[in-house]
Amino acid sequence: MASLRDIRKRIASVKNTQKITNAMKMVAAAKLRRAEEAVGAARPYADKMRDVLASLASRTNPAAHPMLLTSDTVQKVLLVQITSDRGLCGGFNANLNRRAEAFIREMKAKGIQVDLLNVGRKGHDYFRRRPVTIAERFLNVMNKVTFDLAENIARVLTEKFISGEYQEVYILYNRFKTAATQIQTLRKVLPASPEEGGGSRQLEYLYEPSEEELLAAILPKYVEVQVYTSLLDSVASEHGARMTAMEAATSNAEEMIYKLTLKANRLRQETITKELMEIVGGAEALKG
Amino acid sequence: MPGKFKVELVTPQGSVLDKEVEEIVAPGIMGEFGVLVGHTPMLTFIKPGVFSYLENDRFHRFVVGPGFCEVLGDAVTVLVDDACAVEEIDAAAASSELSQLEQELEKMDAAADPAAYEKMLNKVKVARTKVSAARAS
Repeated sequence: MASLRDIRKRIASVKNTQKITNAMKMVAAAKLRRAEEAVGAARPYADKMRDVLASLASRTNPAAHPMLLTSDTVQKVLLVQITSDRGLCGGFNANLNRRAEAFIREMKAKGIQVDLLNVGRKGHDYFRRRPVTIAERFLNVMNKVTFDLAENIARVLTEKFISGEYQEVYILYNRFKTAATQIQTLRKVLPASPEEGGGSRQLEYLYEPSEEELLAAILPKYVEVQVYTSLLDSVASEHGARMTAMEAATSNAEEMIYKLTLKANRLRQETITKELMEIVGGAEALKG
Repeated sequence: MPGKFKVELVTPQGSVLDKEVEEIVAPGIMGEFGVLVGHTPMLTFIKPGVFSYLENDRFHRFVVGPGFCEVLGDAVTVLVDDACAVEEIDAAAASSELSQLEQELEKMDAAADPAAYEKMLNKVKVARTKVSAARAS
């Protein structure tokens, strides 16, 4: 049986852990606020961009630009998986890894090979030991997401797509909804084909300078913006997930401390009672 | 009284403007152009310059970075890298920013990395427009 001293030690250690989880929660909450603002600010731009591109793409011939071209035979696809660099954020990364695996299986059933582009250490750590080709990796970058980073990633995947190595490019990330909910989102980035049923509005349309030049400038930008908002979403989701996880950990520690304190008190009481009984017993014996 | 149409000015940092206006003047790649209600659908590049809209007989001006503009039906969408209302520009800060950016541009090699050079050049152009806009107002 654990001695009183053991239990007291245990309580102290749980208290220390609780202090850490509580501090992590506070840090995550502060970072979340900033990340949330960034997401909110970037979303209108990304949404408008998608609108403009959709309306442009629905009117143009896909042959006008290689990034619009859909391939008839898809053999290899690239999956951009955005995870976090650090753990202790609940099921944030585990869920995403499972989703990626499901996607790979699904594609394999159709005879399509999936290669990965990992952004964030956790996804990379998971797939490194699995039979999946990791085409490219961006590790330890989630601490500071900049537009430059998004540009680099976008350039890599655009090059790989245009060279014909991959026929499709998907992006998988946690979309930020609220601090407690993230939605795993899988989106096709390339080819940048208009959504089904967009309808080809044959309006008379002016292009300045030319349709081709506009497409050539807008398409790369479109990919960059998609990557950028996905990164921002992922960062905000990560902090949200960490905050929730740490809050749960803090309250678990609280509960544990309560139970241990109860146990310690009972034990102390027991010891006192025992000692008293001994004294009384000793006194009785002397009397006799 | 001319008709009104919706204009949205959006940057990656957020939406800057979203209202019903009577007229806009934007710095297109082929020269400045104006849009009134009922304009033909159009898509064009925006180059760094001054974007303005007319509301209640007064022009409100913004310094914008490169981007593009879609005119479609009764809505105009302007997507640019950077946008700043002219009234909010601090002339002193703008000119120190300009000289700093110009120095950085000096150091860069246009041949080595044309994309980065182009980007810096655009930044310088935006800063230059800011300075002159602040001086004029």
